[in-house]
This record gives sequence, C-alpha cells and structure tokens, in this order.
Amino acid sequence: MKTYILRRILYALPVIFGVMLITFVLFFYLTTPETIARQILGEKAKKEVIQSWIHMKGLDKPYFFNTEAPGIRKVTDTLFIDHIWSLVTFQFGNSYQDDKPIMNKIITRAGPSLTFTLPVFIMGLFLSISFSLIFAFFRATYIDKYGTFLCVLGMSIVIMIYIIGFQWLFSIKLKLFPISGWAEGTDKVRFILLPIFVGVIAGLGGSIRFYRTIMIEETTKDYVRTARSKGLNESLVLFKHILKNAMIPILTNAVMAIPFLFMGALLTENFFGIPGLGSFAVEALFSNDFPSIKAVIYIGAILYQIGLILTDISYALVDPRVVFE
Amino acid sequence: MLEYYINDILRSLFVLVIIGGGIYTVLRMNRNRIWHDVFRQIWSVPIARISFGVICLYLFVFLLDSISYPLFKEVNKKHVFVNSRTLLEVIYTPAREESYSAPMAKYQFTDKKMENKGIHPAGTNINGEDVLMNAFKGIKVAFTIGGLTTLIILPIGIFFGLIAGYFGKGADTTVTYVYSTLACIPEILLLIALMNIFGNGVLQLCIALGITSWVGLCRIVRGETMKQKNMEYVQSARALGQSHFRIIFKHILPNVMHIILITSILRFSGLVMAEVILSYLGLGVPPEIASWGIMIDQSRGELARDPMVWWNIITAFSFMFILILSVNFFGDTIRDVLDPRTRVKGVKA
Amino acid sequence: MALLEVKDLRTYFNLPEGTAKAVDGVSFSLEKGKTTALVGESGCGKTLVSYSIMGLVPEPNGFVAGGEIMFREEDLLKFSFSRMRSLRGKTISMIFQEPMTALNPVFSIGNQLIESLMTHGTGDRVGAKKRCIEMLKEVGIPGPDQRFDEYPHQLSGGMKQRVMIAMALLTNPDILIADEPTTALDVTIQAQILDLLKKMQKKYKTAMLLITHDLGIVSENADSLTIMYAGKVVEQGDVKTVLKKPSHPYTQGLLRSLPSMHSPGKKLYSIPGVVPQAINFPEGCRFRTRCIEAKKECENEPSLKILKNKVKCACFFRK
Ligand SMILES: Nc1ncnc2c1ncn2[C@@H]1O[C@H](COP(=O)(O)OP(=O)(O)OP(=O)(O)O)[C@@H](O)[C@H]1O
Ligand SMILES: [Mg+2]
Repeated sequence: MKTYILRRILYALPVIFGVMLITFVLFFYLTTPETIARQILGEKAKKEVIQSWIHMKGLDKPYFFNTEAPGIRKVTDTLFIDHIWSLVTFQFGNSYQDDKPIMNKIITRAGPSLTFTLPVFIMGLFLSISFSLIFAFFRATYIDKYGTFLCVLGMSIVIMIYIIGFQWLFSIKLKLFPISGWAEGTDKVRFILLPIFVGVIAGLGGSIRFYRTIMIEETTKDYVRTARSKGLNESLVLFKHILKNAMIPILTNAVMAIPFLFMGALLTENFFGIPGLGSFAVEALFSNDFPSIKAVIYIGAILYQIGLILTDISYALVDPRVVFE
Repeated sequence: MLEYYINDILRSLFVLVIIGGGIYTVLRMNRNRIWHDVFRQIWSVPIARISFGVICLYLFVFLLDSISYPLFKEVNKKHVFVNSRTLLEVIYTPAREESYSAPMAKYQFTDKKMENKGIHPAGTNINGEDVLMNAFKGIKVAFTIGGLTTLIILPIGIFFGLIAGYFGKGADTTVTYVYSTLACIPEILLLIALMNIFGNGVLQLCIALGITSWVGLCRIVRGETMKQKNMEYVQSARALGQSHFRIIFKHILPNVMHIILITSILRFSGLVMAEVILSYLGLGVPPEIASWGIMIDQSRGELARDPMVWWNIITAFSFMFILILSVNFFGDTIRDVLDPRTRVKGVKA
Repeated sequence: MALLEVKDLRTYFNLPEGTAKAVDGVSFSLEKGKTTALVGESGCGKTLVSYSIMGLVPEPNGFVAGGEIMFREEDLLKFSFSRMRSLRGKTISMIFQEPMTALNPVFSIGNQLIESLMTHGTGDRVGAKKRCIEMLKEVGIPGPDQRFDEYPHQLSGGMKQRVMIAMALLTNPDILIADEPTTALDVTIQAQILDLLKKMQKKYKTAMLLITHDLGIVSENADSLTIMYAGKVVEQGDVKTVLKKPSHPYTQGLLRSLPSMHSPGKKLYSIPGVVPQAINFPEGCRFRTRCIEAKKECENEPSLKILKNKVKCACFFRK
C-alpha cells in the first residue's frame, strides 16, 4: 500500500512539472514583463517607473541563461529557475494587488471556500444518490421519465441564471437572505445558506442523471437476475446488490472532487461575495495579479493529482476485485 | 469598394460551405445502411424530432445573420462604407431608442415616445437597443463559438487520439502526458488565464476553448481506438499488409465516428455555456458584440431596479435555454441509439 | 400427473423494428424426479422459456404474450408479483447459463448463498450458514469454510458453476431449471457436474428442466425431450424414441451433425444456412428456409401432431 502510494506520487511529479512549464509559458513567454507592468501601473506610467518595478519584481532576468551572472548562477539566476523554485517551495511571493504574501492569502481564503463547498458537496451527493436510486427503482415508469426530463432541464441552465434567479427570488422578492456578503462567526449562516442552496440545486440535474445511468447499467447485469431468481424482494435487490456495485464508481468519483473543495467555486463565490479561493482567483484576474493566478493554478493541479491518488486508493478499499500491486 | 463585397461574400461563403458540408456529410452517411438505420431510429423519437426542428430554426437564423452585404453611403459623390448588413437586419429592422423600454411599450423609461412607430416585442436595453435583435445576434455568437471551436477540436482530438490509441508505447505516453497535464489545470482557471493573455475576441475565445476541450475528445477517441485495435477486422487488415495510415483512417476512424459524433454534440452545449460564463467575467467576446453572456451580464443589477427590468435576462436566457435543451435532448437520443451501454439490450447479433 | 405444465407459451419482445416472437407456442411438462431436456440451436428461445417460468422475462421490452404455466393446478403467469417471488428460489430454482457473470462481484459467496435461505425464512443465520457450507461441500467445493468468505473473482469458472448449483439447491426446490449448466466448463468437469445434478435429483426428487445443445448429455440424463427451432417446438417425445428415430427434418439434421463414435473420420454433416433472427422469422414452417425437404405447403404453419411412434412432430410430411 505504501509503495503503491509512493509510486503514484512519483507518477504525478512529471505532470506537476508539466503544469509548471505551462504556467511559465503562459505568464512569461506569452506575456512580457513590460505588458504586466503596464497593466499593473497603468498605461501612462513613466518608463523609469516601469523599469524599476520590473527590476524590483525580478522580472528583468533572462529566461534560461544568465550570461552576466558568475559561475553556477548563470543557470540558476534566471526567470525559469526562479519560477520553478517559487512553485516547488510554495514561496509564491507577494500579490501585485496589495503586496501581501500570496500563500497566506490562499490559506485564509480556503476557509470560507470550505464552509460553502463542503455542505454543497455532502448535500449534493446525498440528494443525487437518493434521487437516482428512486429513478432507478421506478425505471421506465413516468416517475423516471419525467425525473430525467427535469434533470436535463436543470442541466441546460447556466449557473449564472440559477444565481441571479435565486438571488432575485429569495433576497429581493422574499427578503429571506441578504443578497451577498460575508460575516465571521455564527452570523455567516445567514449569508451562506443561499449560496449553498444554489450550489446544490445547480449541480443536481447533471449528477442525478449521471448516477442514474450508472445504476441503470447495473440493473441490466446478470447478477441482478440471479438475485431476483433467489426470490429477493425488489428493494433488497436494489439497495443491496445494485447499490453496492453502483456506489463504487459513484463514490470514487466523489472522492476525486474532495480536494477541489478547497478551491471553492469561482462564479458562486464571486456573486455572493464569499471571500473564498474562487473569488480570490477572480479578483486576481481582474487586477492582473499574475503570481496569484499562477499560484492558484498550481495548487489546483496538485489538488487534482491528490484527487486521482485518493480515487485509486478508495477503489482498492471498496472494490474487492481491486488489490494494490 | 470591391474589397468590401469580397469580404462579405467570403464570410457568407465560409458559413455556407460549413453548413453545406455538414448537410452533405449527413446525406452521404444516410446512404450507408447502418447509418440510415441509426437516423431512422433517431427520427422515431418524438423529442428528437422536436429538438431537431428547433436546432434547424436556430441554424436558419444563424444563416440569415451570416449572409451579409456591404452598405455604402454617398458622401461628396463618393461611396463610403457604412457597415455590413445581414439578411436578418433586412428582415427585422428595429429602431434604436434612447434607453430602456418594456416589451411592447409605447413609451421609453425616459418618457420619450419611441423613435418610430415600431414597437419592441422584447423591449430595449439600457442603450436603447432592441433586446430581441440582440438575442437573435446572440445565436450567431453561440454558433460561431460552438462551431468554430468544434472545428478546432475535431482534427486535433481525433488525430492524437487515433495515434495514441493505435500505436501505443511512446506515442501514447506522450499524448497522455500532454493531456493529463492540461486536464489537471482547473478548466475555468486555464480559460481565464488564456483569455487574459489573448485578449477579448471571438477567435481568441475559440482557440482558448479549443485548448481546454480537445482533451476530452482525445481521451475518448484514444480509449475507443485501443478497443478497436484488437478487433478482428484490424488484425486481418494488418495481416493483409495494409499500411498503418490506411488502417487508422479507413478502418478504425469510421468505427469510432459514432463516439466522436456524440461527444461533439454534447460538448456543443458546454461550449455555448462557457461563452456565457466567460463573457460574464469580461473575458469572452468584446462587449460591443451582442451575445447572451453579455446580455446576462448587463442584467445583473437590472432585476433590483424599480421598475424591474426583466426582459433582457429573460430573453437571453430563453434563447439560450431552448437551444441548449434541444441540443442536449438531441444528443441524448443519438447517444441512446448509438451507445450500447445506455441502450436497453437489443437483439443479439 | 405433471408437476409443471407449460402450455402454448408465447414470449415476445417489443423492439424498435417490430415485435420479435422469440418464443411462440411452446408446450411441455415436468414431472417429479424426472428430467425434461430442452434442445435447440443458439437463439431459439430456450433461455427465454425458462425466464418465463421464473417470471424473469427481461423488462421493459420483453413480455409474456400468451399461454399458461400450470403448477399444482394454478397458473404461474397469473400469480401476483409477491406470490411469484415467494416461489422463486424456494420452490423453483434456476442455474444460469453464464456462471462467470451470474454472481455479484462485490459480495462474498457466503453472503450471496445465505441470502436465499434468509429470504425464505428457513432457519436462523447460524443454521443457515451451516447449511450453506454443507451444500458447498456437497457440490464438491474443497475447503468450503474458507470459500464461504471468498469473492467470486477468486473462484474458477467451474467453482462458480458449483456455487450456482449450490445456490439453486439450497432450498430443496421442487423444480430445478438448469440452463446449459456445463457449457462453460471443460469436459472432465462437465461429467462431474452432471453426475452431481443427477445425484441431487435422486436425493431430493426434483423435477428438472435441462437446457442444452448437447444431444450426448440428453441421452444420458434426460427422460423426455423437446426440440425447439426458432421459438417453436418441432419435435417432442421420449428421449430414446426421438434419438433413435428422429422424425422432424431438423432433428434429423441435428443428429447427423453429431460426431459419431462408429464412423470416425467421416466428414460431419451440417444444416445449411443460419438460424433466422427472432425479429424476422419466416412465415409458415420456420425451418423451411433451411430444410432440404421444403415444399410449397411449408408456407402454411404446421401444427404439432402425434405420430405413430407417439412422438409429437411439427412437419407436414411425417405420419
Ligand atoms: N433482452 C432481449 N431483447 C431482445 N431480444 C432478446 C432479448 N433476449 C433474448 N432475445 C432474443 O430472443 C431469442 C431467444 O433468446 P434465448 O436467450 O432464449 O436463446 P437461447 O436458446 O437460450 O440461446 P443460447 O443457446 O445461445 O443460450 C433470441 O433470438 C434473442 O435474440
Ligand atoms: Mg440461453
């Protein structure tokens, strides 16, 4: 088990390196320091101001090879190595927005994201599994037909419409919740309920349909017939035999999403003013805060790899057919 | 003057050729017995017929809005180019007002009478533009984004998927490495970063969406190719000494075509949605182009106004919703017919 | 008196292309302690007949369109869902054709065995487990105590088939349907499994429906024989009589295509053509497209009539 995880981590390293390369190309090759400086300091900034800003941020080094530096620093004192090093050591530097360390910001921003995404994840998973079970139980009846129809309807609505619609209904019309904002302590419940509701509803259609497909696929398997031939009642067939088989892909799929909970949700957080990582990314984007975007992308990639590894492990834990080799 | 004509003609021709090519391909496929059967089965589902009809309506408006001719004004006996006028604008020419007006209203918010007697079926927006016209124009944006991106994704995804799946080994490792690296960057963040670098624009948006979404297609084609590779027909083609190129494109490609079709159709609605989200973030199409995302973005504060301005968002939403819904239903039907996994067991062959 | 009597059973499929009459008027009976064999080419509807008896016709497009299945003077087809369920696995058991996929991969063998006993209220958990292990031993599984906790993927095909048999016999059913119980196995194990079934049948006086392709197996194990072709019965009667002197052209073809012990080296006969699809069975006699004796009359539907040697046969040219 330990060696297996170790090997999985080793597999992940080249991919993480690839992400470092991509971010380098994106933020250094496709955008010159000059343009970054102009975007930060404004179009009218004086040439000297721009130059000194570039120098201060260490962006005036050559990409790969520094002919002016002595000895080994010819290779290390370059943009590329700086970039890689900052990512590897998680020293993302300071934000262009307010000159505060990015890492601290990310850590403090992850909290609010979690308070929003965790309930959405748990409730969403619970509801979609329950509904898909109901649809699978009543498969090929009108409940199933109209249910899946509703799911497709739900899937075809852009998240923004859900957000704007629910804000209008619950905040402007019914005045049940504040339209957006954030508070510390227990007071945040007031603010968090509506976003959670929106998050759950918006994701429901797609996941119910997906889980239903998995379950319906299981109902056509031979073992279901065997179970019926033993005279088991339908609910035992569904809740024991089919559910356990269907839960394997469903749960491992869900495990994949767990690390991403830290990342929050871009649009929802932004609309509801939740100071999470998602809205951090949007803010960084609007203020051309490249080091912050880079850091968020990098952390996202790492979380993705962790998700993959967790998925593999959970497969081995729940599926008797899978063993660690 | 001629250059403006050429410009418009070329643009119209491009769209015509693409749509014509699509129709031709479908007709050609229809001659094949298997595909003919598939089409017949799809057609036998009422909801597929309805959604196909709706999609055709949208396509028709798209076509009207894509065929254009240049408009000139005579200034000092010289022809000066004003703008391109599309067929849609010829058919439906609403006047430009000063400000908001409710659907079918006689007065604007500024209490001014309407520009000309024409009324606006879906009202006007803050700039006095006809909302219905904007929604119609949004169709063009949606189809351009969806279509152009698909045109970018298809060759890349199919080619690399086939190569990786067929040759395995080094080719496979390389391709999988590239796409797993791309896939592990959260899609929306990568899109944001790319759009931030490329700047706003339709073509830019298509390229950015292409970069993020060829991965899905490539992965699916690769998986399917790996399955097909071990099938008897491929083995026998190999035994007959056919070239790899021929085997891949003559034998395997037609057999993974259905998967490609399903994936592209269902991806189309995702692309339309992505445009809306990115436009809302200010990263999609330039704000002067009327797109549904921009309309929804505009209407953020409008619902809280008094009197409430609801027509902008409702119109944009309805146009978008109906299109995505139809595409989803149509794609679903195709998948049910083509994908043996979701199909109820048929007659054993 | 027959224990179970299938009368004019019709099981159809609603398909996009139309109705597939996969089983179209099949009759036979099962008797206590006796074995009835059901033989026919792949796709002729044998499995579907057994599903119809079990009430397990694949939904949503399969359905029983007509006929009766009389069991102790009641029609199984008229049974309510729950009444049918209480019969399944207790009074009527079935061994499925594909042992590889018939077991649930994520539950242990023991779990799946014990379930059957628990549902039908036969004893407590401890007693049920004891009975399961006994049964596993009886069907010849070595080390039943530890096998009990193993998962299906840890067993070989033959072992799985034995588990299936144990599962079917746990409740001492009155009727056992064995759907090609040996096709998935190699020859040595085939014989063992068949002996096992025979032994069990003798012990519990079970009525058995044995479905197979293999006429060799039939001659050794069955008492009466029903030959099906394309959803219909073409010949029916006592095993010895039918095998010794087949009447229907199809049965004759089947027998001629058997490798014979007496004349090794001779080229094997095979019935020309292929089995038609259930969706487009020919009108009239369904075998006529492959029959060497086919004439104009065969476009009418032949009925099953009793011949001189007491065998039932559906052919115009047999007396
Ligand atoms: N779920 C289904 N949907 C549609 N048709 C089916 C279905 N299951 C079986 N059939 C059709 O019913 C006919 C009989 O099938 P069945 O499985 O009973 O054949 P069989 O005699 O058991 O064949 P084998 O010897 O291969 O097991 C076949 O022609 C088959 O195509
Ligand atoms: Mg069968």
